[in-house]
Amino acid sequence: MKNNKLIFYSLLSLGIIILQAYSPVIHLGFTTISIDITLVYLSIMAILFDRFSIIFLGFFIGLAQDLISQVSLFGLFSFIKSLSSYLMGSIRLHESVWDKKIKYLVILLTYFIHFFLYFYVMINNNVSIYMILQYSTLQTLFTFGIFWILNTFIFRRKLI
Amino acid sequence: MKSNWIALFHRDVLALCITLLLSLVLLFSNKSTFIESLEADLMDVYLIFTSPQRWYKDILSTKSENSLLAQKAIQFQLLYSQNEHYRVENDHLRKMLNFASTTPLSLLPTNITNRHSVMLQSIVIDVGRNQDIRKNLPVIDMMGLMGKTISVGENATKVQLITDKNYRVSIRIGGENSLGIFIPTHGKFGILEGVRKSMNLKNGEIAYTSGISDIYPANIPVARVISVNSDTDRPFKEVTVEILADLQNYNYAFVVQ
Repeated sequence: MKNNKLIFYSLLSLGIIILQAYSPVIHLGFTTISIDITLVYLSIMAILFDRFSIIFLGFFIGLAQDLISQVSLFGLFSFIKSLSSYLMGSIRLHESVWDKKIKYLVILLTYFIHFFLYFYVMINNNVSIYMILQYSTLQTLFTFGIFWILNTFIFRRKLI
Repeated sequence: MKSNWIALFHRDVLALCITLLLSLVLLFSNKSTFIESLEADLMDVYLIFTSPQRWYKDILSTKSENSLLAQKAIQFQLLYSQNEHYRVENDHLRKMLNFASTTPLSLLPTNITNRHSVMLQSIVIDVGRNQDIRKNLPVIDMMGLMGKTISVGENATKVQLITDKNYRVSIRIGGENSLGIFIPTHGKFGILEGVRKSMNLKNGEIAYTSGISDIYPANIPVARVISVNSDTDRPFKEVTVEILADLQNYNYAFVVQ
């Protein structure tokens, strides 16, 4: 039973990574904005499973994303995905303490930190900090919207 | 329950640290402009965080630096004084060079090494027989006659100053080039003897060597007239003069050869 579960989630993760590789991108100035499916997936997993496992899952998914998206900064996604997993993993730890708004806020903040770090390293040479903040906010809202849609319509508000 | 929560927290933190560390190792092993830029930013952050430490170290080192700087300041002050002295001397020597090149006389520049003598007003100069100096050669400065050589050694010569009581020099003065004798009186003053009463003489006129003696060539400035008195029973004017040579602050002189 346990092995079946492990195989299922491994395959699911692999599917998510493949899906991420072929996800559409929007070109904006020096950078591109795309749906970060892996981050949404990690958010769901962080709410469902314990933080310890999710940190490692985030790390390996990040490594895979590094391989499929950009090799010149190999390690960047694994870094920010591990950090995001840790932060989002605290939602499950405080499940009975935090209300819905705080949980959403934590996810929103985690997304923002994730994208800010990503854009800061990726396009810091070319644009100002305001532009980085602008891109990060845009991508955060975009990804958070997807998470909210999934939570509301697929999971019927059972996640948060 | 509480200890269980703490154990979970520590386990998660450990997992996070391991994954972050691995990620950073991978990230910084890349060689790209992004990483160089990131490293530069991290260095800036590091500098900001370590600024209190540097400030503290600066405070500690300030005292020793201060004493060192004070020492250096004194050294530079001394050096400056020395340079200033050299500059003044250099200017003086340049003037002397200019003077030596414009005068028709053959001049040998010398240093004055000693000034005082009990018996007579004299100085010692650092040239002698080795430089072809003989007895009874005139010694001048840029202003006028200073004296004459009286005893000559191998490398040093004694000069009798114009202010010496026994000093006499034949002069010519005025438009008519009247002859006279310069006799020192006291300090930088002297008198001219033998100047005819009929001669028209004014204050400020310069007495030059006459050229009739064997020692002094003609036209070396000797003294300036400061007062003339014709109301005497004697057949000559009483002319008081001031010696032109600077006999207070001398360092160099010329021997006329």
